[in-house]
Amino acid sequence: MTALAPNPAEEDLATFLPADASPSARLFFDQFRKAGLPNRRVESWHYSDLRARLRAVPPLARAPDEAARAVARQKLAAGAFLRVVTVDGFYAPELSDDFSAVAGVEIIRAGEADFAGETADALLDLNAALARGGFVLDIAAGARVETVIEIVALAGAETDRSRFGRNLIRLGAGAHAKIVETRDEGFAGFGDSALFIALGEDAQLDYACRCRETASVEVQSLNVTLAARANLRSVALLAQTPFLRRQYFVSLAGEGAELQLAGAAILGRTDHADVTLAVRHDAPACTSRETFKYVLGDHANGVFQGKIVVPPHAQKTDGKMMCRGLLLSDEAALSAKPELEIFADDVACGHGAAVTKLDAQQLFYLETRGVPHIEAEKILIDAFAADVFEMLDSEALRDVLRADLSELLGEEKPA
Amino acid sequence: MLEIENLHVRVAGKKILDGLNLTVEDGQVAAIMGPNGSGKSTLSYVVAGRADYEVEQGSIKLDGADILEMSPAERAARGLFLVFQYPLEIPGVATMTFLKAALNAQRKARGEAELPTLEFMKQVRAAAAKLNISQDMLKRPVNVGFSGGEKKRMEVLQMALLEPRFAILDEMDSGLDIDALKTCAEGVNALRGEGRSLLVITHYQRLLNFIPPDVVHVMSRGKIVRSGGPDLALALEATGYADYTEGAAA
Amino acid sequence: MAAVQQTVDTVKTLDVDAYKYGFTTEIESDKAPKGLNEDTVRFISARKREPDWLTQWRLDAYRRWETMAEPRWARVDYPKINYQDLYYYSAPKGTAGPKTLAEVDPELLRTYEKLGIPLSEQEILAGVQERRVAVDAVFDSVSVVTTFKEELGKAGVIFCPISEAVRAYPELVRKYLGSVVPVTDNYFATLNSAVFSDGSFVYIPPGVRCPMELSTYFRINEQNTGQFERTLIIADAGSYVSYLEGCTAPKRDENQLHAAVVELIALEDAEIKYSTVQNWYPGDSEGRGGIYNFVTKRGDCRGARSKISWTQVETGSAITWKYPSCILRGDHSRGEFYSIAISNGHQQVDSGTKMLHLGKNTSSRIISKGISAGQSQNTYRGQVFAHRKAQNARNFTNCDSLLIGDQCGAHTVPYIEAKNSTAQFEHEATTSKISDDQLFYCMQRGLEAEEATALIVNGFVRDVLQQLPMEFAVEAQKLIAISLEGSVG
Ligand SMILES: Nc1ncnc2c1ncn2[C@@H]1O[C@H](COP(=O)(O)OP(=O)(O)O)[C@@H](O)[C@H]1O
Ligand SMILES: [Mg+2]
Repeated sequence: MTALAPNPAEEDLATFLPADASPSARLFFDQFRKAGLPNRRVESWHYSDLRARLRAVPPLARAPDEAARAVARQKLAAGAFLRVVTVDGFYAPELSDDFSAVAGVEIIRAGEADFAGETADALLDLNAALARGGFVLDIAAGARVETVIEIVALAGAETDRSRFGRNLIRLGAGAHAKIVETRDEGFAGFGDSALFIALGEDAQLDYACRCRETASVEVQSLNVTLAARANLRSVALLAQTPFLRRQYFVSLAGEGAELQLAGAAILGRTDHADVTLAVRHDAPACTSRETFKYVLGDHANGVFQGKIVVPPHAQKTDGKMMCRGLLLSDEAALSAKPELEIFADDVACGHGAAVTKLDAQQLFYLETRGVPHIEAEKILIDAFAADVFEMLDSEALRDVLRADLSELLGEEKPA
Repeated sequence: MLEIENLHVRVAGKKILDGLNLTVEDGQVAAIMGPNGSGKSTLSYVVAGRADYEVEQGSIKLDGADILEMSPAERAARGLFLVFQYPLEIPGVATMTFLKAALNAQRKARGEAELPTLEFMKQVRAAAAKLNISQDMLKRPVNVGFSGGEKKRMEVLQMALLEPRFAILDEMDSGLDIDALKTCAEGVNALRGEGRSLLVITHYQRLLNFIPPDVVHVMSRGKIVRSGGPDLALALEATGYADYTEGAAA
Repeated sequence: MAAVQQTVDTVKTLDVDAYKYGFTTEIESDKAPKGLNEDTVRFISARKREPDWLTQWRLDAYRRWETMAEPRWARVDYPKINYQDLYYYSAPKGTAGPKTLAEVDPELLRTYEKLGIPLSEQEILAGVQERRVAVDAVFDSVSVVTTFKEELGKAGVIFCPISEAVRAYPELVRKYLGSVVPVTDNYFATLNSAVFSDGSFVYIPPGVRCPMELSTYFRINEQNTGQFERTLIIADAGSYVSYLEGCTAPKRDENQLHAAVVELIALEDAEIKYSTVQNWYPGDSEGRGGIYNFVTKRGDCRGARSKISWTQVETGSAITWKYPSCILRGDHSRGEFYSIAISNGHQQVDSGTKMLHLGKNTSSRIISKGISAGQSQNTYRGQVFAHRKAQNARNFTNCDSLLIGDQCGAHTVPYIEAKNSTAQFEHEATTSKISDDQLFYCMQRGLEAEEATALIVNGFVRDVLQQLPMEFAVEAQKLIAISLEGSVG
């Protein structure tokens, strides 16, 4: 093994660690320094060479002041949902809605102790070392929250900053909630955010994420733990991503937990989006379904890496993973690596992957019915991608994603 | 021929057979009728020796020998045959391969010589012709891509070939149209006779028109609640099972 | 169907641990001194009376190898190999040059007979059919005999040990050797390039359909000896050849190294069918001993409409690291990979294929069946790649794993990379155990658990078995049952 060439971005990052950093923050930072920014020789980062891409990082974003909040407030259009707002990764109660009237919902500033200690990835280490001022969104045991909660991530006065958001969504036993996360931090800067989702026994969460604007280099890590019989339905819509890595570390930790993880990436220009999953069936009789779809035009590059891990005791595991890509241009590329790693014998696991093009017969059929070719294509692309929204329970969340998708495809807004 | 005494069976922790008693005499055709979920298929699986059924109490004797400790294959070699309610598909295994393996395994277990290939082929062809089973079906893997009716005919073909002493027919009529039902019933009836008994499990009287039983048992909630002659089946057809299910609850 | 019964019978007559090819042959041999350095390379080259260009080629490879690191990305775990503690050349005494059958040491002939490979030109392999197979028998580092050479020669087919080809057909060897697997390709291929001992050379002239199956039978006998076979097959325009290799080794407590390179070249409209039944000694039930099998196999569909098809039945070796691949360079060329990989005991398999679509309208098909039992680990690793210019590339992949018992692992790692909008790739994979319902159904019809399992497993792998030449399919079916022996509880 030859030593990695030094990368100036790592030096920049080292200056971000404050003098009064806690011992655990230092520990995480040391872990990050030891591994370095991952490059293509690190198997799980093979298709997203962060080391090559990130040669310098912009200054560290500071906790928002009044000027930053004013800029953020302008971008915060009137919305239909109750909102929790972050500015440059910091929880901004001043911009957030008042949740006191919503039974069972509490939002507090997060402390180091709120997050699970271990990490599995260099960028998650970096986030653990540098993140400050996130929130914990707590849904009390047994609470059935009917209203949709929206988490909005915005930038402050300067968009070219390094941001390290770190938040936690926690549902107590038997709680039900619907959450949509809107990421709108602008297209500049570097982002390394982490969202933790912990579901108690029998808890149910519908979670949608809209990546509307992502930084020029952005890593999003999701750390998910499901207790017995908990049920998470999660859909992400990724678009306009200059260089995005969205990674999920999921543990189905309690017997009978159920996970439905889906996403659609609509990419053009030179967009790069990498979705990497590590789903561990840590308890017996859990079910997981992973479905990701890519629509790739222009010079876009889509990456899907999915790994289902079944340790020896996780008998009766049911796991199925699917990745489908639609290539619309000869310059676009899709790389898919759906993996199974199975140590238990009484399982039914599978994965599929397909790279296809639009179905000529369907196109023809639509055209014979008078739909112009371009429109027919859009209709089929929309259907291809929107399919993954169906797994969400909440009609409201599905509507949000559908509207975003139509907008992206330049369709007429649905009436 | 078959004697079941005080049989208690649990499946996945749930009590399904609850003190069932049943005797089928030599040469007898007995019918079991009962509502869905009363435990009919469970009974047939337990007699055939499926592993995940926990026998808590009771005994099952075939020709006087307790078979509960025997493997399914040993029971089959003693002449027990089950027509599955839902016959299994076995991808990649040619039907002929399967038939020959089964037949020779049983012959071997009984100390008989293997059947020469030509003789075997002749027997299969003859039986297949009677049941309207095409050569093409025999070439395909076991039950793969067969319609419901084809699968049932294939079960009867196996029965004809293996010549069991005691056969359980678990809802042989489900998924069959009237012509296929006739064909299957003829196949079964051809095997009726001395030294051979049948246990015909069904939900409907219809099948019993084609395979007339000597006795009829009514099963509900895991036990035989009434036994009688063939007319009992007709009575049930008229009144339904309500009497038994509610009566049992009271 | 007879084969199924045979399979079952074979299982019964064998003890656990009874690797049937585990005997050794007492024969004197001529060895290079232990260890690896430039002198070893020169020694091998000199023993084989090679021309200077080849000696240099080997030395270049050796120098390159010294700068390389052993790959560690595969899911196999083994103690560090001490490359200085091995013999790199071992030849049975008196086999310096090519022989006719009459000249071969009778002890060697007996060895091959015991292995079921009669080295005579009348008998037929496995005795199944009136079908003749030409055999090249490689014992440790040298080829001891090649049968049917004359008859093949009449058709213009060249089939001989590669060491002989270097002298007899230098232009062909020089033109193609290392043209598919470059000297620097990977650690083990580079090692092989430096020290390769023997293997087969095949050339089929334009338009010729090879009149019989060709096969090479590899046997490792000597202790502490690595085998570094090198096989080169060239199918000239419009020709066809079917080639099979078989491998066995004695039971030994220490691990033995086998690092082979196989290169296939198919020119316009040519077709090569390459089948392997790999049954190297897998080690004992405690995981002691066994062959380390690090193999680089690659086929180049160089000409338009050419086709290369790999079929492998992998049941042996302690460690298998092997990815027979196809470079689909010619327009309309086609690559196929059919694999059965069975692991039991402490075996570790990391195997699969690469289909690299470069030309236009190329297609490939991958069918992989992995079966893990005992405490083994079985990984499928495969890559399907469509180049930006590979218009209309098509791939279908189906990769199924079966687990027998709860101590083993089955893993699937496919890499699917499409850089062309007209590419159509379809991949499906499943992992499961033998269904209890299927077992019960078979047992209700009178089959015991072990027979029922053998039957279902044979069904599971049938799509691949069908790709093998008939006599080898029978052999393979037997092997499958033997390898799974003792795995049914
Ligand atoms: N594997 C099983 N796990 C749990 N319950 C089962 C299982 N098999 C059968 N049962 C239950 O046992 C009862 C009897 O089923 P069955 O014997 O199939 O009835 P029938 O054949 O009379 O319709 C039903 O309530 C059914 O749901
Ligand atoms: Mg039933």
